[in-house]
Amino acid sequence: MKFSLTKNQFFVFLFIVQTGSISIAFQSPIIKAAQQDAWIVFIVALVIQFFILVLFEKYYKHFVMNRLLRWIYSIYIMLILVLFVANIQKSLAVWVFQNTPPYVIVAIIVATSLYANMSRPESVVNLGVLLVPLFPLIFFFLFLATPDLIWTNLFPMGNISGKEWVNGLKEANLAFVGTEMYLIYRGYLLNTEKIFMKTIGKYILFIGSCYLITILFTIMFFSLAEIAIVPEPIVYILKSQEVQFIERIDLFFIIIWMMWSVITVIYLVFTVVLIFNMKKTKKGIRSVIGIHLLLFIIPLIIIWKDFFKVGNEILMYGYFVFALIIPFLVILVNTWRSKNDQKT
Amino acid sequence: MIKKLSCFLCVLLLSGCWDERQYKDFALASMVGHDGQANDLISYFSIPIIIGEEVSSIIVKGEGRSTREVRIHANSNTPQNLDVSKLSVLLYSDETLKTDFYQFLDVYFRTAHNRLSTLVGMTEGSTKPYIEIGNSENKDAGTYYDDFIKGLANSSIYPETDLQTICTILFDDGMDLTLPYFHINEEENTPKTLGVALFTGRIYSGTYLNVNQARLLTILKDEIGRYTDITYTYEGIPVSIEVKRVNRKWDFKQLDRSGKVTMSYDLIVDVQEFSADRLEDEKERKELEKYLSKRLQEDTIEMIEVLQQTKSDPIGIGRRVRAFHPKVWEKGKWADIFSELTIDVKYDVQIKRTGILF
Amino acid sequence: MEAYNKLAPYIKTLFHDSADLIVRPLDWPEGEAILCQYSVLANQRAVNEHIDTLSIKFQEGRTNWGETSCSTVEAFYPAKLVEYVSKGESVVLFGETNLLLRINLPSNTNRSVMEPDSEHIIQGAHDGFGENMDINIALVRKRISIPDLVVKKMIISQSSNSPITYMYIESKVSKVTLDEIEYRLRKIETEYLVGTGQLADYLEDTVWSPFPQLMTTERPDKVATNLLEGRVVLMLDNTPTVLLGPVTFASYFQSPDDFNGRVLVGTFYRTLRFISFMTAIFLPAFYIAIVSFHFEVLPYELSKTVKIAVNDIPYRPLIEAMILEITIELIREASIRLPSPIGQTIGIVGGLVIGDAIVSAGLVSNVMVIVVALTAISSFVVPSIEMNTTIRLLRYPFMLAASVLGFFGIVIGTIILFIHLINLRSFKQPYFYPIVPFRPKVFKDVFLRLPFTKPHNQATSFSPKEPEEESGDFQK
Repeated sequence: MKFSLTKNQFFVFLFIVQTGSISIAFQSPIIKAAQQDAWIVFIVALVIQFFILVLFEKYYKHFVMNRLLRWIYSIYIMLILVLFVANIQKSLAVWVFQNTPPYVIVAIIVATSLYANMSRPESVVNLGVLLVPLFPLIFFFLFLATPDLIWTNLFPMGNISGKEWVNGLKEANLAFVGTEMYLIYRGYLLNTEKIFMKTIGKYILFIGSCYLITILFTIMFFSLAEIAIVPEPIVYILKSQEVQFIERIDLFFIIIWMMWSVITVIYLVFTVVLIFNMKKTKKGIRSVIGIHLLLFIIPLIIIWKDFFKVGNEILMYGYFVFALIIPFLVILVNTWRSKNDQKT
Repeated sequence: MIKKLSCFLCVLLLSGCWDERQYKDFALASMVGHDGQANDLISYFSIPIIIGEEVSSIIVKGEGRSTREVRIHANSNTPQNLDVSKLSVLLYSDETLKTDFYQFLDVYFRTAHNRLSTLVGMTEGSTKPYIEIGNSENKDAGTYYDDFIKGLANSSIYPETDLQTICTILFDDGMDLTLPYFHINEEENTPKTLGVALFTGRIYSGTYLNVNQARLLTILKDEIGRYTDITYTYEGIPVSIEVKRVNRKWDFKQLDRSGKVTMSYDLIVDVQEFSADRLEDEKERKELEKYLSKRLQEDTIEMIEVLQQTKSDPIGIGRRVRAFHPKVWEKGKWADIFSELTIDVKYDVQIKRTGILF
Repeated sequence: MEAYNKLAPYIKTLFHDSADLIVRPLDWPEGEAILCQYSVLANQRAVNEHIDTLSIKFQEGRTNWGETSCSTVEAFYPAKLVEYVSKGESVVLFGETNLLLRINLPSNTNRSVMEPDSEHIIQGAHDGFGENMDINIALVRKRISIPDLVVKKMIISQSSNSPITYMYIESKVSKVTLDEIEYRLRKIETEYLVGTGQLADYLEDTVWSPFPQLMTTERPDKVATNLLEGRVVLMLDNTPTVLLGPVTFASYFQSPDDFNGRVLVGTFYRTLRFISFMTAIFLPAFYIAIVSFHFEVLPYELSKTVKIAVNDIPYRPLIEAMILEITIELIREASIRLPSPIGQTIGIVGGLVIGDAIVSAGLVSNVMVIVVALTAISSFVVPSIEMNTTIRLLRYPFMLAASVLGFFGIVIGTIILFIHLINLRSFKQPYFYPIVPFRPKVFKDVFLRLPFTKPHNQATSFSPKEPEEESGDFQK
C-alpha cells in the first residue's frame, strides 16, 4: 500500500483525529480541575504541544518502527478506538438513543468503518473533506450563545494552586490524544512538501483556538457549580439556543459530531491497517475484518461492564507513554545508532 | 442471505425501532402549572387536543411526590402519551416556590428531549385558574403565557429568562433569581402582572417588586427591552419618557475599604408625552432632565432597600465582586454582605429626541 | 450478358436473395457492367446521374475516370462487394477488367436537425444530434473548426458491423485517458451493439453504482464545450445520444443555459441545482426522521400544524411517503409513455386529483404531500436525465435509514454515499474531482458561474492537463 499525502491532507487528518475523539467531553474535566483558569492552563498545554510537534518534525526520520513497536502502537490505537467507540455509544445513548441496544449502534459504526477501509486508501484519507463545510456551522451555532455569556466568570484570574495546575495540564493533554499520528504519518508526506515551524504554528493556533473557544464559552456560559453537573457542556449550550426555524440545535450538533467521530474511527482503523501494511489480498482483507470484529466486541464489553473510568485513565497515562516517552526513546536510540553507524 | 435480510427489513418496517417516537402518538403539553409542596405536588398539564382540523385544550391533573411522578400520574389520564418536550411556559404557585426551586427543575434539565427555552412564571395561589383562563383566551394556554412573558420583556418589566438561564442563576452565588409574578384580576377575570418575585438563594423570599420597581431593576441590569416607558409628574404636568439606551458605570473602588458601591447610569431618553410643549428651551430641558434624574434616583434607592432587606441580589453585583474583590467576597455569605453594602445610585438623564413636537 | 448470367446468381446467393437487392446489367461503353445495391438505402436518382457522368468520363478515356468525392474504383473481391453493399453503397462491377466502382450516395431518410426533447434550454443553440453519424460529426466539426479535432472509428461487433466513432481534441485530451478508452473499447466482445446504454455498461468503471460515470447528451454545443475541456466523445451510428467521458459529479449540474445567461443569474441557478440535489435526496428522509423520531426540533407554532396533519394518519411515515413517491413515479412513467397531449392530462389527473383525494381520504398527510412534491420537483431540476433518475433512486435508501434510526441513519447514509462518491472513477479519473482531491480554485469555478473575462479556466470541472500526482491524489 503505497500512497502519499499533501500537506493539507496531512494536517486535516491530524486535526480530525485529535479533535474527533474528545471534542465534546474534554471541557468539563479540565474546568473541574483548574476552575475558571482552565483556559490559561490550556494555553500552556497548547504551547507544550507546539514544542512536541516541532521536535517530532525535527526528528521524525529517526522514528522507525520495528516489529515490536508496530504491535505496541497498533494495540494502543486499538485501545483508543475501542474506548472511543464505547464513548460514542454512551453519548448517543444519552442524547438520542435511550432505548436502542448498544450492539446496534456499535455494529452500524463498525460496519461503516469496514466499508471505508475496504475501499482505496486515497478514499479513506480524503473523507475528512466531508467535515470541512460542517465545521463553521458548529461554530456559527455556538456563537449564537454570545449574548448569554457572563464575562465576569473568567475572574478572579490566576489564583489556582500548583496541584490544580498539574491536574489541569493532565486533563488538557487529553485533548491532544492522537499526537503520535504525526510521527506515523509524517513519512507518507509527498517529498515536495516541506513543513516549517510556521506551518506547525498555524496548525496549533487553529486547533488551539477551536478548543479555546469551547473552553471559554463553557466557563462563561455556566456557573462553576453548574459545570460540575453537566458532562457535555458544549452540547448543552447548543441545546439552550433557539433559532427561528429549528429547535434543539444540540441534536444537529450531535449528528455532526457523530459524523466526525465515525470518520475518526475510520481513520484510526486505517492507521492500524497502514502500520501493518495490510494489502488487498485475501489475508489482508481477513485481518481488516478481524480488526473490525474486535472493534465490535470489545466496546460492548466496556459498555456492559462499565469500564469507562478505567479506560479514560488508561488513555490519559497512555498519552504520556505513547505520544511522549516511547517516541522520544525511539528517536534517541535511533539517533545514537545512526551516529555510531557513521563512525564505523 | 437475501431472505434473511428481507425478513429483517420487514420486521423493522412493521414494528419500528427502539427509539422511535411517532409524533402522532404523543400529546405535547403546551404548559404545566405546579402547585403544592415537594412530596405533595399537584400539577396541571394543558394539552392541545385535535379534533379534525380544530385545536382545543384540556387540562390534565397529576398528583405525586416529585415532578416526574406527577407526570407519570397525569399520563395515565391522557388520551395519548404525555410529553413535555415542547413546553412553552412553566408556572409555579408562590407557595410551591417557598421551598428549594431546583428540585422542581431537575427533571426538565435531565431529559435530553426537553426544551430549555421554556419561560417560567409564578402565580398568586393555584396555577389552575391561570391555565383555564389562558385556554379560554387563546385555545392554548402555552402560547398565551409565552406571549405574555415576552411582552413583559418588551416593556422592560422582566428580561426574557429561559430555563437554562434560570439554572445558571440558581447555581450562581453572585446573583439571585427573579420571576414574573402574576395574579388574577377579580373584576375582569384576567391574569395581570403583579410585579417581579425576589429569590434568596433558591427560595422565594415572599417579597416582590411592583411593576415600576421591576422596570427600574431592568434598567439597573442594563437589559432593557424595546419599550421602556416611565412617567413622572413634572410641575403638575405628566411627562412620559422612553429609555432608549443605558450606559452604566459601576465604581467599586471604595468597596474594599468602606463597603460602598457607586453605580452611575447615563440614560438616553425620548420624550413621549409632555403637554407643556416647551422643550425647545435649553434651560427648560436641563431642568426636566435634572428632575427626572432625581426622581429616578429616589425610586431606585427605595427599590434597592427592598432588595437589601430581602437579601436578594438580582442585579448581579455579586458576580463583579467575586471576580475583582475576592477579599470582600470571601468574608462570608454574599447575601449577608450584600444587605450591608452602601449602594449609591446616580442617574444622568439626557433627552435626545422629543418627537415631532418640542 | 455472359458475365452477368454467370455473376448475378452468385451475387444473389451472397445476399441470400434479399428482395430489396438490385442486381442489374448496365450499359457501359466498353465491356459489361453490373449494378448492385440495396434499393432502399441508395438515392436512386443521384446514382443514375452519377453513373451517366462517369460513363462519359470513361468514354473520353480519362485515367482517373472513377475518382470523385463520392465514388472510387478498386479491385474486385466478393468480400468487399458484400461490405460496401451492406453499408448502403451502390457498386458497379466490371467483369472483364475485374474492377469495382463504388458509389456512396445514400438515400436521405434522416430526421431533420432539431432540438432534443430531453435537454431543453431557453437561450442558445437549438440544434441536436440525429440518427446519422455523418451529420452528427458535421454538427460538431462546424463548431470546432480546427485540425486538432480528431475523429477515430473502431468496429467492434462483427455481426452488425456498426462502427463506434470517438472524437477528441489532440492538444487537450490526456494521453492516459485516451489509452484507457481505446483499451476498454478493444476489450468489448458482443454480438451487436444496440445503444449507448449498452456501450456505457462496457466502458464504465463501476457498473453497479447508481451514479452515471459517462455523460449522455444529444446537444452538439454541449459536446463541443466538453471536447474543448479535454473530454472524449463516443458516438454510435443510428443513435442521437452520445457518450462523454471522463466526467465529474459536478459536471452533471451544468447546463448550457448558465453560460448563455448572465453571470449572476447563471450562478444563482447553478447553486439552486446543487441545493435541489440536497433536497431531492434528504428532504423526505429528514421529514420522516422528524415525525417519527425527533419532533422536538420543530418550533412550537409549526409543531401544531404538523401535529394536526399527522394526527389521524393510519400508516407509518415511511409507508405514507412510499405511497406518494410510488404514485409520483407512476405518473411520471405513464406520462412519458403516452403521447404528449394525453401525457399532460395524466399529469393533471395524477397530480391534482389523486393528490387531493389521497389527503382527504386520510391516507397521507398534507405535509407529506408538500414534502414529496417538493422533492419530485427538485429532482427534475438537475439538467441531466441520468443524474435525476439516480437522485430519485437514492432517496429510498435514505428514507429507509431515517425511518429506522432517525437523523443518525441519515448521517450514516451520507457517510456511505460520500465514501462511494470518492471511490468512483470515470475512466480512472476521480469522479468527485474538485471536492476530492480538493482544488479550491477549480471548486469555485464549478459551483459558481464566473465571468468569462477573468483569466481562468471557465467551466472546467475537470482539468486533464494536471497529472494525477500533482492534484493531491494518491500514487498507486
